Amino acid sequence: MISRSSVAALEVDRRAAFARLADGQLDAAYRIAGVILGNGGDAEDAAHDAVVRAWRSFATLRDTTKFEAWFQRILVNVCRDRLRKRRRTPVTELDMAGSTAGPDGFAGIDDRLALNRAFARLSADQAIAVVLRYRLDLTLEGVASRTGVPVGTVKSRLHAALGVLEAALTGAQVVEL
Amino acid sequence: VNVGLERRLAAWLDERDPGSPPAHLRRAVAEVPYATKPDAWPVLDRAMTRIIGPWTPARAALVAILLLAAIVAVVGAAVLRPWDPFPPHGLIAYMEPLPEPGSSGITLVAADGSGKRQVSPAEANRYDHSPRWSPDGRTLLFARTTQLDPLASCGGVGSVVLYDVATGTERVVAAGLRPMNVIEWSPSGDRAAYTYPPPGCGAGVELGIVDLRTGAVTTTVVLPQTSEADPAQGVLWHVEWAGDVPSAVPDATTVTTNGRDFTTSTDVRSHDRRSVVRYAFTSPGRIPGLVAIDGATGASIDLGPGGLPAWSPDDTAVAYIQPGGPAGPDAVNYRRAHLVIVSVGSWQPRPLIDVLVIDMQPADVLPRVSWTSDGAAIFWFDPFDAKGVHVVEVDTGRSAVLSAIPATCADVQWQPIGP
Repeated sequence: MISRSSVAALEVDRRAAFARLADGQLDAAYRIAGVILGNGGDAEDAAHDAVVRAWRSFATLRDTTKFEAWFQRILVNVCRDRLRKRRRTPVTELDMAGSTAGPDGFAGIDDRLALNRAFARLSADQAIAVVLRYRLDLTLEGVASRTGVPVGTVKSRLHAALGVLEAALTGAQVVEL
Repeated sequence: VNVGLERRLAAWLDERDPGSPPAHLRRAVAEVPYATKPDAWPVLDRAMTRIIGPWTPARAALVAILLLAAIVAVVGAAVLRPWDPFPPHGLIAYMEPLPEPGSSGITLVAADGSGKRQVSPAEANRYDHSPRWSPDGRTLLFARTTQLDPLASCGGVGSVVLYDVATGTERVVAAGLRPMNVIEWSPSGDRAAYTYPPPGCGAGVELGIVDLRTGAVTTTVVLPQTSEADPAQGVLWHVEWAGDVPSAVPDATTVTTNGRDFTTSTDVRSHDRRSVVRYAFTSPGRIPGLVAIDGATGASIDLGPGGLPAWSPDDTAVAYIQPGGPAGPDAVNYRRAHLVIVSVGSWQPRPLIDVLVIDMQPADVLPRVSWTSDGAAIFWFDPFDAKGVHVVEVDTGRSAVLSAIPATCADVQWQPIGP
């Protein structure tokens, strides 16, 4: 029979283990959330929410070597919820005057404005797919596992999203002409 | 893939990267496992959150309301039973003449006419009769008479047969018996009892008991020979089980009072055999009268005229067809009757629906009703209207005529359906 002190020790170990694992993922989580949500404040909240949700469900994770993928899936869900909530409320567009051209020489202010607007028009699922694929360089299978949908669904989301973004950029160039 | 688009997109995404998390976030995250209580039921909580969103007082109230509504719906549905199938599910077994010379057999069919199959093999001079369902509805018991002499009114060799409805196979439990009038299951289902003689045989009455597991048969002579003094002379005898003891009972008993007037009566006993409804008529052409004898009080209650009654499976009610008035100009050659239910105790007839019975002789014959095993419906076959089997739902009065059952049928038995 396991003694009460042994149970307490196991509980302490479990908390410490989770704290270590969460700390190891915090950098990536904050940055992914920042890219998806577009600002540091929301990214902080999302990363913290994801850690809280992960801890609440930690007992369901049987293999801690899969913590990264499991946690990223939770984070993606948190970001999706926030994007959906945000898109139900009116958004004031940021004043981008004064922005400078990007280091690649293409992403100038018009590009950024156009991409900002277009990204805001994407559905939450499309926006997340774009970030996971083009920011984290995940494979289609990786995106599928993080978002919990089939690869075919990921493909169609990316296709639709890129269409919107490309049209936005084309429009920006036309204006520029 | 548009490489230029991807490059510009990657650059734009790079610009959105907020960099390293602030120190206060790292500290807050480190405290989470010590400051937050883990879910007691993580999988359930996650599923609930996915369905109804984060757990807020408003959502909790919504779930409570939905749960309450579900409980009310389930309880209401259980009381009203709106989903009860009608006509009830279950096969209907009946006897009918077969095309083979001198042969009658048993057929099964669903109420909607589907799944019709002939239980009895096609063979001349074979007579399968008295289909009786086991309580679980899986097995059909019936009596068989083979080697019938087409020129004689009596004879043949009897056997007892069990038919497995699921597999469609029959098992002859006992053979080489005297031909039977009727056979009935014992309440325990491990034995059957039958009476001899069948119609047309003037002979003494015998009661046979068959062990359905071993096929062993014991017979008892109930009445050595008929006599003029016998009040049951000339009538057939059926089987009634009292607990695990069978007895042979005459279908009717006639008493002559002054050499000219007579009363013929049939006692229909409740399943617990405590109460009885006596069906009696005094002269041809007059509709018989019903008198209930309440086993609890000993009171005798005149129920008025009616057809042969039937006790509900739980012995709380009796159903019968009660004569009414003329059917009216829209139904020439018919007269009106009512299907009534009498609750034991109050003994007040409650009309359930109107029934049209054909206006022809003999006027004293009204259809005999039966209950389905769950007490949900009452059915009867009227050989004079030849429309099929009539069925009425007790709770609602919904009714139907099952025309899939031929006018030449007899001994209609509805399959019990388990809970």
